[in-house]
Amino acid sequence: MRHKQAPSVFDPSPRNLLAALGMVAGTALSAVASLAVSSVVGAVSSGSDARVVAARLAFALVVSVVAALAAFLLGSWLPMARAMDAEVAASVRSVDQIAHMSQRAFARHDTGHHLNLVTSASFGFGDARVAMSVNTLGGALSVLAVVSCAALVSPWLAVLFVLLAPIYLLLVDVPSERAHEAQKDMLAHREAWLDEGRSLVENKRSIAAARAGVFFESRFSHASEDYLARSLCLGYWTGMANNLPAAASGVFQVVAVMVTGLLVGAARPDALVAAYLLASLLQGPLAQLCLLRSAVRSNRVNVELVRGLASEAAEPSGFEGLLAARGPLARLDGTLYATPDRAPGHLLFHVRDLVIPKGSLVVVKGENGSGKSMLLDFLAAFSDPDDLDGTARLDESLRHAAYLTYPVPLVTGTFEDNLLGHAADPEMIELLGMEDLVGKEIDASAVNLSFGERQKLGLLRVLSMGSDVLLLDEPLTNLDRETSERLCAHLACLKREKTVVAVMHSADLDAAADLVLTIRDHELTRERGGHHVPA
Amino acid sequence: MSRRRLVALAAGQALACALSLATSLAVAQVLDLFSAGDAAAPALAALALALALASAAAGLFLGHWLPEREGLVIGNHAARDAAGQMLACAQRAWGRHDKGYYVNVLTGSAPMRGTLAVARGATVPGCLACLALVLAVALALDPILAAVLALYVPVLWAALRLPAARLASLQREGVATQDAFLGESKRIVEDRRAIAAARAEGFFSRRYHERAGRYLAFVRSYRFNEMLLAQAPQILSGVLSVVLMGIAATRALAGDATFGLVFVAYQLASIVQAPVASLFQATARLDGNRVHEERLEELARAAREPSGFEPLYR
Repeated sequence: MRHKQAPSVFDPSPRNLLAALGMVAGTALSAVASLAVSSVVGAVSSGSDARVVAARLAFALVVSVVAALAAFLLGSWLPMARAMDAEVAASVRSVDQIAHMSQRAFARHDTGHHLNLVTSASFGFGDARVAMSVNTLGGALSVLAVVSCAALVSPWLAVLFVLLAPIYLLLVDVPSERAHEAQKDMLAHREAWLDEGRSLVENKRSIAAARAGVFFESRFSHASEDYLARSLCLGYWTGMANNLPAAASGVFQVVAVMVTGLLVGAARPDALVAAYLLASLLQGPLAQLCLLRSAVRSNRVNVELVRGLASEAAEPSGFEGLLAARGPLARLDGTLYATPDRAPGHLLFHVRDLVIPKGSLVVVKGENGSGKSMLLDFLAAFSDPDDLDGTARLDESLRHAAYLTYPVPLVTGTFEDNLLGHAADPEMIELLGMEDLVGKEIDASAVNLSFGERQKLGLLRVLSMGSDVLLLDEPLTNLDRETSERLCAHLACLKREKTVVAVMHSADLDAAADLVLTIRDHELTRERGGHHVPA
Repeated sequence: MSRRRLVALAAGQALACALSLATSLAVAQVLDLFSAGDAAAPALAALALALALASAAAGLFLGHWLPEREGLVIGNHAARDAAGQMLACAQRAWGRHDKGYYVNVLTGSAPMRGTLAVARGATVPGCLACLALVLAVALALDPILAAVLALYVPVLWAALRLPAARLASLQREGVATQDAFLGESKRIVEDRRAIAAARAEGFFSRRYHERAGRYLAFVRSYRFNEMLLAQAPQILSGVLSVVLMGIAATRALAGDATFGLVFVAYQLASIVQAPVASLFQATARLDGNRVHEERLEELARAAREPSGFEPLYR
């Protein structure tokens, strides 16, 4: 499941078109129900036979029930269901893009940015998408359906409805705009009020000790007054935006009766009632049309964020140009920095013509923070290629390297779930002494797995992957002596068969290593038989 | 302090309902006059328009804005009182709860007091008054109409209880599903590097997809019931309005009433929805948020508690 394309806000998919048509069907059925009810009045006023009235009543009853259900299911529920589908789909897409994007693109933003993307921004994007693709089309066609029914009653009524439409739009749009402004204004004051409240609670003991209760109470009161003033403003305009169209609808219904009564010669009672009832149907679809503007306006930032994520997810990692099909596993020459800006403070180490042959066992040593893990990240393409000021050639096999790094991810579930989609090699289970762990339920949030067991799980995944290259960041961490020895012996046996690059703080692998690299004083040196040679 | 204001708000809601009824009666008269070709029709239509405008304004301000305003003001004052009480608490009483609890009392329970005070003091009596008014008008028009409306109120109440109960149980059951969905996205973002290093992007993407599917199923069910609760009155109103029309039509055919009565009967069905639905929502809100009132009362008691050090002072 890979999503690389920037999603469009307008999505004319068959399901969205059907949802829009469902909205129209709901409104059209309500219009038919209005005409059915008015026909009952017509039959009564013309003194029709009781059986005719009864038949029309029965028809009105059936149509009214069907129309009410259709208005609920097709007019309200279906667009909302589409919006929920779109919200969750956008969130799934964003998570997929974040999981698969290059490290360089991921590192451009902090965790908060990405969290916002997969929740609020994705949900906002989904809302905007459905507002544009379903509600707008459905609303516009529904207005057309109501106006068409009005034309059947009287052309004057249809003209009146067309004239009323922009007034409705204004009645929704102006308060919505004010509410939007009021909300922006209110947010800072709400935050200040919450901060004062939290500070009061957090520091209650020291406030009491400093005899500063009156001072802090007064501060909270001031913040409360400011917040109240803004809340009242927001409440007023939100209330107007929500209720003004419905309130105005009652007035417009009377206007519709007046127009029909005055302009339609010898007004029939059924036409008057139809005018009254049809006028109330305009409000819903016009509100849907207004939703477009508010949804697009309030979600503009979210749409930009989601589209920005799609472009960043489509970016190459930057390592593609460094890959070579032949030659050693890696060849590095230059200076490695912790960040691509290559600021002097971010210098890790200088490296001169380092060659890592295929099938070798390489040990990397150095103090904490010297750049050992960053070297593995670079080899695994989990960094920015611009971190290196120099030249590099990386073998294609590194794209599929098995990499043990930290933290070792765990999920709540079975032992098999915690292999994260890989299959465990039974020999490796035995090697790591994990027989007791097989079949165990693992809780990622609780401490039912020791640090050693967690490390073994990470090692098991890496050793079972069948990859030609193993990159191991401190593989012996938290392991008991016996397991450490078995693991070291196994890694030594892999020589010539696989390339192993291991970051170590002990000498356990030194004897077996083809190459021991040490980072000291910002220099990566190659150690052979006790002689230190610049790498 | 606000008791009188709440009574005034309840009266305001009843007035808004009365204006709505008056508008419907006036429109019915207008329909009768227009179809009879009476010259007085335009003048009465103008009166109906004025009533409709007054009804719209009353609905907006008396029915919605003023109660909401009062709720915000009461809630804000409750938060200030709570802050004062927290600062007045002796350390012994204060230590009974953690800080998160007090933050919730200050920012959640206190504002809720406003909503609950308005629900109890204005919405419930206001809606009851509205119901009485609608029934009185129906009784004046036709006792059978009034009887059907009176029977309808408990039917609608029972119909609203079903989705409300389902909604409450979904709310309890759905918390874990919601947490799993949101928690998974958080862990994927936070552990992204380790996940990519473990070549487990596909595994976590699929896992998130599954959790998203479960969350979607929950949220769809929840919103469906929520929407059903909001729209059940309109759905049932379709049936009631035709039944009421039938009763009125029978009288009109017998020559006992004009077709205007048929129209009013139809309108009564929709007018009665709002007070019943509001009454239901208000009582549900009062039931569901009792814990907030209890927390505020406990805080007020804690603020009055002695520190325990008093006998030690000389």
